[in-house]
Amino acid sequence: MDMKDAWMALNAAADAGEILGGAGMTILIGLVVVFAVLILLTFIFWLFGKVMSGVGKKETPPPETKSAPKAAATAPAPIPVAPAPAVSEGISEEVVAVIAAAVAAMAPEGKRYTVRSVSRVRTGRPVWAAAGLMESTRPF
Amino acid sequence: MGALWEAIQQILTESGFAKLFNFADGGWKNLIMIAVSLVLMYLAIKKQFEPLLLLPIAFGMLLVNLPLGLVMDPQHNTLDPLNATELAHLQQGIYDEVYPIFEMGGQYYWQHFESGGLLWYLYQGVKFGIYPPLIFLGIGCMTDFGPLISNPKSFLLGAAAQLGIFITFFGARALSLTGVEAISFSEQEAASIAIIGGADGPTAIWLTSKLAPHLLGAIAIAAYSYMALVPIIQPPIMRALTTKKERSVVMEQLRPVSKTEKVLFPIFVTLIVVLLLPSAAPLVGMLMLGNLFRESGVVERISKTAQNELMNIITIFLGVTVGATANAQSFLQPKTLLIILLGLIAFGFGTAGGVLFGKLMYVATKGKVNPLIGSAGVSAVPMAARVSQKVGQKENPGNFLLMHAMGPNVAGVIGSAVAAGVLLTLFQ
Repeated sequence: MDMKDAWMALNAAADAGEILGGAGMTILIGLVVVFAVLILLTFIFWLFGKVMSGVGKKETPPPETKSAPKAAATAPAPIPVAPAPAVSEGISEEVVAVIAAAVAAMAPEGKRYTVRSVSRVRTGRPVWAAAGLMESTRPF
Repeated sequence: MGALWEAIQQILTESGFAKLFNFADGGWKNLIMIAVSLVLMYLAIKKQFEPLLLLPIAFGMLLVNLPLGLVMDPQHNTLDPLNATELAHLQQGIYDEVYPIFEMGGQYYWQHFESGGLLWYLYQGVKFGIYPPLIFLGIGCMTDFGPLISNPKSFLLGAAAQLGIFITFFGARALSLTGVEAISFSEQEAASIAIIGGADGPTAIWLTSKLAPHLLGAIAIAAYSYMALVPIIQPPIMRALTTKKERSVVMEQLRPVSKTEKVLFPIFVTLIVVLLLPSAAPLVGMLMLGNLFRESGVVERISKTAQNELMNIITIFLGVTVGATANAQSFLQPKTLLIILLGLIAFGFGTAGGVLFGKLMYVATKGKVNPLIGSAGVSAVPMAARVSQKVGQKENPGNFLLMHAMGPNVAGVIGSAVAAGVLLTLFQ
């Protein structure tokens, strides 16, 4: 009886080893093949991009990235008379006025806000593009 | 009057109602299946869970579980013994019917043809693997691979998110160690369940129809339900595996992609994938053909048809016939519950695989890649990419990951088709 039990257990262990070994091999083969195919594709299209951007540069100059002024650092301040905001160079008074008006429009009622400084923010994406993106991705 | 009553009684006893409520004969199983189909219809209509597929699936399920409807009955030939007159005619050589006659053990039989049920004929498109690649044709026409072309590294995330498939395969196979027949899965079955982790309905149906068609109903329902639940399943995993800093990474804007690149992309992908992995040819080939239709810009009519009319027609056929494979006998099994559980595991590990690889890329690129885009590597286009966008925006409202996540997302479609090809090669 003991012998039979032991034999059964051994057999089951061998089966288990076979099943898990096979499944482990599947993980290995699967991941290796999937990665191999996609790494190859990555490489080819990376190369592709290099070649194409090389060709593209010769034909057309890269479009200039424009950066637009953006309001920065608006903080609530209880001071009744606001000091003139520190404005970095190249920003006209009109722009400062528009920004201040925008801040006032967005501020919740009954609270006072002060524009302390206005400086140019460098981003890769123009504000209008950002606004467009915001608009088109809002539903998600 | 008596004759009329008898006739009514006979009609009633031969009706589906009699069979449905004949509990001794297993009519209750059909009742449960009908209830399940009604729940699925509720989810599709009220909760809008992938209604385009779930609704026809649910209705197919309802239809096939109404007794005696025979909508899924296969076409077959039957042998009937010849009656005395026919036998006499046959012996006199004046038998003028066109049916083949068989002689077995001195008895003569005539063979005649019984046509199958409507859905059985439509099901052939699933059985022979015709519908899923046609759906892929339409998907190809709708997909913009631009984000992937401009950032080819996304391919790697599309590969990493296939981790869930293989982990689940292991899990499903490990269950057979219990030795309990009811929860043991063969390699073919395990592969079909695992592919749910690809989060790609047509791919899951395609592979399952080839490896384990008896599980088709359960697998399709699990795959589409989880795809609908992507916005609920993914975010906790994504947040658990990433730090606040990683989630707020703003990625560089993608470079614009020229038309030449977009036209060459489907051709190159087809060449490479099909040459490396021929078994993925139907899915990848059709996907890329559709994409070439789109990007070439010269066959707009075809492209429109493939992504609208053709795809809608195929969706109806696919949904209703896949639903019709869910008969009580094959669906009311402990295995169905396990499939649904394993499907969830597959989704979870797929998401984790993508995010973890994203973290690896975050480190390798010194913080230029936001790991959140990795989760989009499980296909589920475009839902998974939207989830990346949403989770990223929660951390940094000015961050737009959508287009960055579309790269791994569409790479995931290719990745899961490749994974399906691998599983098919290994286990067919």
